[in-house]
Amino acid sequence: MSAPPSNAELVAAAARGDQPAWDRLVERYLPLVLAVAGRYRLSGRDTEDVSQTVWLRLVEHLGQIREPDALPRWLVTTTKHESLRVISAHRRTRPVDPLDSAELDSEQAADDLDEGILQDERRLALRAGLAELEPRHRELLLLLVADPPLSYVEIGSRLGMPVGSIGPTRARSLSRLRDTAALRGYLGSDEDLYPGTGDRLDHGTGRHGRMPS
Amino acid sequence: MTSARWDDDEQLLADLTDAVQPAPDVPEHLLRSAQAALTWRTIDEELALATLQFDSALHETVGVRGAGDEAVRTLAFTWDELSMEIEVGKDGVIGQLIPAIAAEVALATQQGDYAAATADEVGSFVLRRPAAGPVRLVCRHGESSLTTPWLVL
Repeated sequence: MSAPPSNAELVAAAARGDQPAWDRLVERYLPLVLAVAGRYRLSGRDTEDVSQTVWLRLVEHLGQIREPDALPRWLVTTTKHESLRVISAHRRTRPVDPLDSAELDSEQAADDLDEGILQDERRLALRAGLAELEPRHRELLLLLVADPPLSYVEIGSRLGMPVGSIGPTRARSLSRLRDTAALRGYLGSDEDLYPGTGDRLDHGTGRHGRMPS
Repeated sequence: MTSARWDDDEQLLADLTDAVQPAPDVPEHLLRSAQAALTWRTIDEELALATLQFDSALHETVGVRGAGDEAVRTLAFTWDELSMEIEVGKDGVIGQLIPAIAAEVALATQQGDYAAATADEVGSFVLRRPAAGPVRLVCRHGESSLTTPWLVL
């Protein structure tokens, strides 16, 4: 199995109009966008609007993405902002439910939300990292985290591996996992890249139109 | 911090255990819509994209309401030589171009123009808006076509 295409490859191809590359990007990251929107408990209709806005925004920026590894973080930030906008817009036009706002406004709820979103990002990065690994490393790790848990004897017999070498191979597989593009990209994407509105991937060099006055 | 978190083999395995749980299914219609969004790439080639300068929905304290029953969301966009400010009401958008030019302003959905108007002598315009879905405002004047980012009003 060849390694899955990197974000950089997919973004570059999609920017040239390559539909399969774009489809792949959407398949890769739509679960993340929906998981983040889901944490704001939006209605189905609002989730749909937020998701679609995020993807349309990404299309707008495809030609200017300098940091494809930062894409998941950008999607998370944009989804958070769009979700908050939708919630805020609704509060203007609908009666405020005191219970609902008490819950959303509490610091604890906000911390839980942030922690939940971090967990969504970690899950996605780890799944992408697993997909990048060579099969023998991936298979071992999947057996090690199987539910219900398997003993080293069972794992050894399934992989045809001496029990004594599982420990060292496990350590090696984990360090390969840390070294995948997915995990390095995730760990390297610094929140400080997104000051202010956090809506930009291009660090402030957007297209600017000129209009004759 | 996550990087330190994953330096530990046991923590990394624990997070991996969590990560390999089956993810909820992605609704097919959301996948299809998101994939169809790429068609806007070519359509947009000639459009200059505005920078969103301000959105009251992200800045005001959540829950605070204006003097009337209904607070108004305001947004400001800028291009190189033009700014646009809009107020979003329940059924429509009131906006102004600065400096005032007689541009045609359209509120577009993914299906095309939903409403259009020509800005008056002080640059003001009023547009109807749909109840839901991403929209953007497109400004056409002479050879220039300018657009705001897509947004949910």
